[in-house]
Amino acid sequence: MKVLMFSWEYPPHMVGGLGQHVFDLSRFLIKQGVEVHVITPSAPDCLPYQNENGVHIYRVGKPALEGEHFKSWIFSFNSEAIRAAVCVNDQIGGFDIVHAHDWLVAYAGRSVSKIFSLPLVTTIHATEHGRNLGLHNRMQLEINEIEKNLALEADQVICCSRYMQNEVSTLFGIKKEAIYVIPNGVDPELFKKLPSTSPYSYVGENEKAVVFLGRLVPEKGVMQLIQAFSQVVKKVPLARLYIGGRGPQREILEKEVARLGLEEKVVFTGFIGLEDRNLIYKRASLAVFPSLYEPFGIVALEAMVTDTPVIVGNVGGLAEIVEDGVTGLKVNALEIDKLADAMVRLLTDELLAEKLKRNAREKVKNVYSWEAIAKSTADVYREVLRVKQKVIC
Amino acid sequence: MLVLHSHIPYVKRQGRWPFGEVWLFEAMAETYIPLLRSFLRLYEEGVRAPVTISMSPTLMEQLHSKYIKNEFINYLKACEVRALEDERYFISCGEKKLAETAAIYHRFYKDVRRDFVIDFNSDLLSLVKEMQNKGCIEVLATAATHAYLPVLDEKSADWQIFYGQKIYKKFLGVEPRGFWLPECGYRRGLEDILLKYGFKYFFVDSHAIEGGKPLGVFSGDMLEEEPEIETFAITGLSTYRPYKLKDKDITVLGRNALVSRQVWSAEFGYPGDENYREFHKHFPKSGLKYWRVTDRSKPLDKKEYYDAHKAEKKAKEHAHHFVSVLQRTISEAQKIGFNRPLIIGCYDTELFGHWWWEGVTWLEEVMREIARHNLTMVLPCHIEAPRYEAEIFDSSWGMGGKHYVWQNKETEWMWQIIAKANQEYEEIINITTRSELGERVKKQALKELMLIQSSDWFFMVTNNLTKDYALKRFFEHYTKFLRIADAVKNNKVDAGFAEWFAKVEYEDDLFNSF
Repeated sequence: MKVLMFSWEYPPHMVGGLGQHVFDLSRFLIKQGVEVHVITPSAPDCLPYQNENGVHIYRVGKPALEGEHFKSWIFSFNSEAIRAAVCVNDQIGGFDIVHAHDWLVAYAGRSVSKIFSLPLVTTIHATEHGRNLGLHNRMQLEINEIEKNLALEADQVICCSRYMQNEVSTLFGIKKEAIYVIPNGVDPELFKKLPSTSPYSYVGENEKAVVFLGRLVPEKGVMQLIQAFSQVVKKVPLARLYIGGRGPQREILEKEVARLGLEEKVVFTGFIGLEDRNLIYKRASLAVFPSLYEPFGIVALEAMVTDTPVIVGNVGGLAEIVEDGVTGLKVNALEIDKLADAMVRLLTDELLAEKLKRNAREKVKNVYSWEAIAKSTADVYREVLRVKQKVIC
Repeated sequence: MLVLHSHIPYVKRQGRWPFGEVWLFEAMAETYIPLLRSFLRLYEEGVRAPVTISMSPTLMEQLHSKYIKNEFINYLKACEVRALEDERYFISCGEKKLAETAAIYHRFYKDVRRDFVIDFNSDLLSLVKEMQNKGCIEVLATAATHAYLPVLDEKSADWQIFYGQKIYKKFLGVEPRGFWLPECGYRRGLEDILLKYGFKYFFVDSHAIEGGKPLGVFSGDMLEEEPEIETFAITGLSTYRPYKLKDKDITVLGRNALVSRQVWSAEFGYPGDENYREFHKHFPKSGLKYWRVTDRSKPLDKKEYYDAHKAEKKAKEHAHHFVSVLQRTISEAQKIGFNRPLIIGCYDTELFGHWWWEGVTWLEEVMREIARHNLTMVLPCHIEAPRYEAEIFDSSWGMGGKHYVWQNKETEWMWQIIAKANQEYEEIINITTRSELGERVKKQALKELMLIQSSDWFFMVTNNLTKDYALKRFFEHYTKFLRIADAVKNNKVDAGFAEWFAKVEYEDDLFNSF
């Protein structure tokens, strides 16, 4: 079975969690006996074609540039992706399935599947409506329309959580049962490698490090986290908050830290590379992701797989991953006092922390392993093919 | 001179509803057939009112298609049934006014079907041909897929004009004399291609000749950014007369701004009158329209019921008003020295009947009124060789007066793709394929390339109207083109390819005279 995968993110070009998802899904699909061809935008210092872990990767078009007209760039990329798909299709004797990730590759996915009469599978990772808590301008309405048509035209829609399944179902009028839920996953192996040189200097030996990683945007709840943390330091003097990641909200967050007089207690690390991430988790006592909107919440799994106890906002996919008091703690991030209490509890109650860590590790291994996810995905491919063939015969 | 520009993009087998074939069927039922019927009626009554019509090759191809003819009849039957069901439904709930309108629709679709099948023999092109031969109309040629020529590269523009002419000859049996530039889009140099193919005249918007502020007609919703509206230098020339283009042996005819605005303008054009049928509100059960404009500023749920008799009366009043405007314009022109001023009104044909339901009635009354007042309607072929020369501006009748509607930040990438595809096409036509299939494949590549070039996709993207359909079509034709080019280049025109190719030929089945 030969699958053509369209994704606008793929390592090293990573914007959100999509790149990591497609990277892991592809290489684990190989182990399921699926032949995977990924078409993705060019990235600096990358060859136009690579075979990585058995995955065929084609990089086409121009690399994503800041300041460029984004829609123009993405549509141009779609056109180049189609060109590459046509060539590869010819070279390998025909694809069996097209798999498109999110609206950014919608036209490539729809066109190639339609013109080559191939079944189209699409994973909707997030929606424009969800990301913006509504649709407020022309661009957002347009993207919503593209997402809708992608979902409606696909032979099978996949979402990463029941939360997203609900959202896609209500937004685009697709029956819930017709949307397949396959969770996102984490590969423990990727969290073992630590930085070789220049040891990580942020986290001190005696500290109780609280970690947040993610984009600095309002929906991630970092503002609430900082406010709650000002209560935490009063009870746990050794606590220190590390905020990793970039985003438009950073300046406002820094002002809030200054206002609360927490400059010594809160560190903005900026962007954190993979190995540094592994180290910061290794030294952390607690990870907190108090999101207000979260289609899946891969960060929670990453913390869990590194044996870091987690506190998450009781929303979206996060709420499905974490079982309160069993694999982590859940709070409504808007309730600052409760968020603070939860942090204090986990930083002081070692028995509880241990229990949560142990359960979390088990759950990640059983449910969120890429082996299981790739297997479910391959099953979806087979089912879609079976149905399509039946229709033709 | 009345010039009606008729165009529907290629929609055959490219989706039915809400976007696709139904666009063509609506134009046929609501505009083309009623208009032709009206022209014939005037002709038979001896009212001499010849009309200039341009018909895009994509439209002609579809009108010629057997599949379209059959589907159109099915469409009309379905409309009849829906109107009848509406009528019964409205009677059953005591809505007498609505029931009357439903009955009008029922009769309308029945009449259209009778006209089409019996009187016109399901063959509008033959009728058009016959009417042209009688001198009742003159048909202009236009670009093959209605590409926006000013932004297109020289070679593609040449193909568009060449095939536009070729398809015209195929369906109408004579050489076209005049050319309609899609969207009145002109750039310096296009006349050379027109001359190369023997065209005698073409049309531009008024500011192309007179200068000043362009009309800037616009009907779409929210634009991402305001276009720059250029004010053209005042030239002192006038659209009241035809000109010979400076140093070129071709005549240019300018659209009259005033008479165009009188009909088109959103603010004070006739179609916005409160009595006319509201285009945007339809009865959900049938899709038919039962409301009147009422008040343009009011939302759709505040519209009142339509009254066909009142609307017809109003259309006639407007027709009389229009002719009085014409007379006034003529006497103004005469005061400044134009003894026999030429007034050219150019409109999209589909405005009459489809967008402006009463437009056909209005137009017929205008023509009668013109005859009554001893004004003369002329065809471009009657115009004497112009004595004056003019240089004209790069321009169009779109918003901003130039190329903005088709060439802007939102569409720039589409032009890049077209440029790339052009290059690729150049490569493949030089490859010898040595088989009948190979030749067909190369022809199809050109068809796909031309379909990508349709101005419609650009218009829809800029104005955010049925944008997804436009992008889908753009990408689909491009995908087909790429696969064909790939097969030709790699010498893979084999059995597997042929099977796929047969489907493409079936779907994009136009311009078979290539």
